[in-house]
Amino acid sequence: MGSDFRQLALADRVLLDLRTRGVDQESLADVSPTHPLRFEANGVALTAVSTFELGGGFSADGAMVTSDQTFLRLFGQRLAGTPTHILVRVAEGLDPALVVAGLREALGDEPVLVRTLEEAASADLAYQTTQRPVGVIFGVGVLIGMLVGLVIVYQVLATDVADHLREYATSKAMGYPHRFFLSLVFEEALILAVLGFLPGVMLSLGIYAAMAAKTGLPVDMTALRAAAVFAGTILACALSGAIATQRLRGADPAELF
Amino acid sequence: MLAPIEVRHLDHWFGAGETRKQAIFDMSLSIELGSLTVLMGPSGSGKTTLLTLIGCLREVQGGSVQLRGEELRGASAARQVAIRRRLGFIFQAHNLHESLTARQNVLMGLEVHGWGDRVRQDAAAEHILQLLGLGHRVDYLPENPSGGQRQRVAIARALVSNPEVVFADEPTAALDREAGLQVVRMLKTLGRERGTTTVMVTHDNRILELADHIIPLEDGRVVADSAEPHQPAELLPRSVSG
Repeated sequence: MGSDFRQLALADRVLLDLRTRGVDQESLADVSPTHPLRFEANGVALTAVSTFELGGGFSADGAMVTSDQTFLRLFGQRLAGTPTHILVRVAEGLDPALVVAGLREALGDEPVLVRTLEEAASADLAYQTTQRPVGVIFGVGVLIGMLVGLVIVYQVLATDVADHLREYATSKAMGYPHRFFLSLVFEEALILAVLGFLPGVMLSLGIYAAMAAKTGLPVDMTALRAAAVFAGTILACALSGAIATQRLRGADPAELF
Repeated sequence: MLAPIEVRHLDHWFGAGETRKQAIFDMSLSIELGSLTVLMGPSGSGKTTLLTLIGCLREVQGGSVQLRGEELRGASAARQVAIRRRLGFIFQAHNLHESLTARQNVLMGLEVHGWGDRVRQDAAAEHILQLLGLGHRVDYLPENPSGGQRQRVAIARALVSNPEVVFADEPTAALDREAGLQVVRMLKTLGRERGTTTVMVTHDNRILELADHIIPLEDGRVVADSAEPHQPAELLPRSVSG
């Protein structure tokens, strides 16, 4: 995309995001300085001279790159010299954290937030997931999913314990200690967690791929996220198992006679 | 030598508050080592309650129950578990683990003791199943054999670990005459050779004839005219029935 930036020096020239939602990619495929695409946005006639691939997000369907002058023509209410973001390219070999520290010291009390790319991405993720309604809804969805899973696993375990109460009572009479039965229930909970996780993660991979294709959002199941879900699954199943063990109190060997 | 079971002034209640009802009244008896003792009596006479109390399956509330000199009253939960490992239980409803084969059910009676390695456990399980005429059913699930065969698996499970005392509730109810007699003879042989004591609740007259002692119970009391409460196991000769 670097060489295309020179085209933006001309007025009203823009680069279009090939992965913009709702745009036919084929119609943009041959956009180039020799085959420009003319269109209108915000009442300004623009000329697309090239494309790039980025994709949309929660708040925009895609992106468009233009010069600061063209940007100010598009958005008349914005003032020159007040950008939202400034991207600083750090020379190779320099530690971005040191550059950030230096910039913070140099800027002092200026109303500017200086962050590394990772810090900015992390802050945006936190904002999207905890401040934006859609993020909160997803978060509650995860919580409800966990609760539903917990209840289902509890029902499975509790029913299984109830179905085998006489067998547990018989084993108690034979001298098996209570911890033996606890370990049985927890073992069953662990098996349920693993057997539930494996098809679950496969299904999720398919849903993630379908969502990414449909929305253009960069959703993917990272190993870390899968591990976190697995840990959560184990925790939820263990909790269900702990509650289900209360049913073991009903296994009274004296009632066998 | 200590009697394996000594019961002194045993009382037991069920329920609480106004619904509290006494089931055992000041009961005293002792049971001899290696004997086959039958508890008999009508429904509600307290024989099953007595069996569960001396079998360490219920907490002793009043009086004293001693197994080989060890007091059961006040025993901690962990101690009760340890004591139960020295005992064998045969239930009327056999209570086998339906998902396990005959061999695996019997092995459960050994695994709780950590007895020997797997090869020895397997050999012991097969041996006792063969003794009970189930050598050809070792690897069958309990749902497949007949009721009598299931009961014999349950008996094998109770006896495989050589328990000090075997508690049995109508163990021959599901067996034909020959199989029933075979089981009782086996219990008597164990008593003679290993000193295994058997306490049994039964109405089977065939067993009454083989019993060393019969303790008739009624309304939570031992039915006897004995003037000496400390020798109650000798209350009646083995020919008493009914």
